[in-house]
Amino acid sequence: MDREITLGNYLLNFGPQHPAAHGVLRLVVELNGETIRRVDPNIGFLHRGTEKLIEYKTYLQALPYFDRLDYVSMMSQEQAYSLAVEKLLNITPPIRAQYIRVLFAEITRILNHLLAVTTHAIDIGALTPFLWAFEERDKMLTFYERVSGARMHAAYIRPGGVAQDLPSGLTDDIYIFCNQFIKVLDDIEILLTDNRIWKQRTVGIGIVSTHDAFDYGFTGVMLRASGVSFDIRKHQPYDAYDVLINDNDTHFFLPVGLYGDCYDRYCVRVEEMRSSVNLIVACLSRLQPGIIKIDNEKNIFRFKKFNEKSNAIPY
Amino acid sequence: MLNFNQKFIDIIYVLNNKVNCFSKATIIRDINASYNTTLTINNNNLLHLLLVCKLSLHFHSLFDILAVDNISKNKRFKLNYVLQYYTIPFNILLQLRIKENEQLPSITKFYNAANWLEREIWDMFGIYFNNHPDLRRILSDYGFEGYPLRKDFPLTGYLEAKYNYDTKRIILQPVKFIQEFRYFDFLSPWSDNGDI
Repeated sequence: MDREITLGNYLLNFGPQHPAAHGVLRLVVELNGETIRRVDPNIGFLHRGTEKLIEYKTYLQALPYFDRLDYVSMMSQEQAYSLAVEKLLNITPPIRAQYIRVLFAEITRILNHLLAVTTHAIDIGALTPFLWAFEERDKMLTFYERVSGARMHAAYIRPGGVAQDLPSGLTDDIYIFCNQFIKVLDDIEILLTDNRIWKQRTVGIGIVSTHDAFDYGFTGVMLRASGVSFDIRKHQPYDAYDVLINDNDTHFFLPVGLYGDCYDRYCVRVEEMRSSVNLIVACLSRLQPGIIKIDNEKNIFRFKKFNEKSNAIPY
Repeated sequence: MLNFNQKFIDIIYVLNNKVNCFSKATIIRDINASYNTTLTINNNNLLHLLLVCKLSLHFHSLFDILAVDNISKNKRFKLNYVLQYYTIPFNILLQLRIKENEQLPSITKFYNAANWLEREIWDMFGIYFNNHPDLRRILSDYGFEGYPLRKDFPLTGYLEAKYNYDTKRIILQPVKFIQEFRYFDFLSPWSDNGDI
């Protein structure tokens, strides 16, 4: 009765809607047993034609689209756009605005890393860190709400500064939050870092070599986990990062991975959150009273550029 | 900083001597002491120049390829190749212009990052890259026609998707609007060129 059966590679369709996928993504996977031989990702399901829409908008009208590009790092997207517009129009935002931007960019970084680490933990089978992290995320989204009125799509960082000044008492609350957040981060690490199951399922998985990281133009955590000490905040600093990072009192540090596997990326993310907390505290201590956006009315040229369709020449 | 400046001068020296193929080079010093160099190059020399950038100047990676559509110009598309070092704050923009039906060589051989970037430019602008391993559309819908980021493509597009209850499937039909798209192009009496 024994018959020899040979199975070749077979194709499996994953998505576009799938409960295990975080978002809309279709993967056509070529499998050999349980081993993935080739993947063809179809990534366009979330493409919303932002660039085309912005062609018909002024610079200020285009800003809220950038919250929606990456809805877990809202203010960072706004900051990137605002910096680009400021570079074209040759504007430097006021010092206080720069510190507020860095403050909220780092809060956004923590928001982002908490989501990345703990949803990864859910996929691997640990639910508790997710619950703890989302409690902290909720507190940080409350800071978003207090400063801009919106919990996610803030439209707060704008070309020329920020939309409005910090409400009274917010800086104190952020400082209190920072102190207790470190403890929560320690708790999350107790559950994950030395956990045997976590390590079995992440160590040596998905290794990206340094050469590959260069070849595919990686940035951010993916690049640093592959052993490259490069951070745009340090090497090409923008806003107040230049002053903050070169100051020893900030205790800024740049975690770098050794092997480029999933576990290294997890460790880099956790350490970066600690570094971000240090940066937030440094920002709070350096925050001085002052204006939070450039004075438009004094310069009719600039005023017109902002209120009408601007013709700044891109290079 | 001295070391860095020396490296910067070396790069410009090599580019000037080894490849005599760009017409003008503008060096923009950033406010943040990082260097941005824009080189306007001839598109026949793209592969040669990238080879020099990769093999003798050791640029680590290709950050981005950006295309711009200047519809009024004869050489319609402007492409920027952004190359980056990870050790020093220096990046370079190789800038070239091509006509509408002109083709470019693919640079996927040198930097794998170019694979999807070129697919995106093909999808959005319809610029064809020769010798690309897998030049398909990447972001737009299955069966999409036209190149959406060209300036002559309308904002609303040509077709809209709709669920048809009779046939119980999604159908495509020409876009219909009760009200036309209103574009407020504010005329400015103070501007130099009138329309802005």
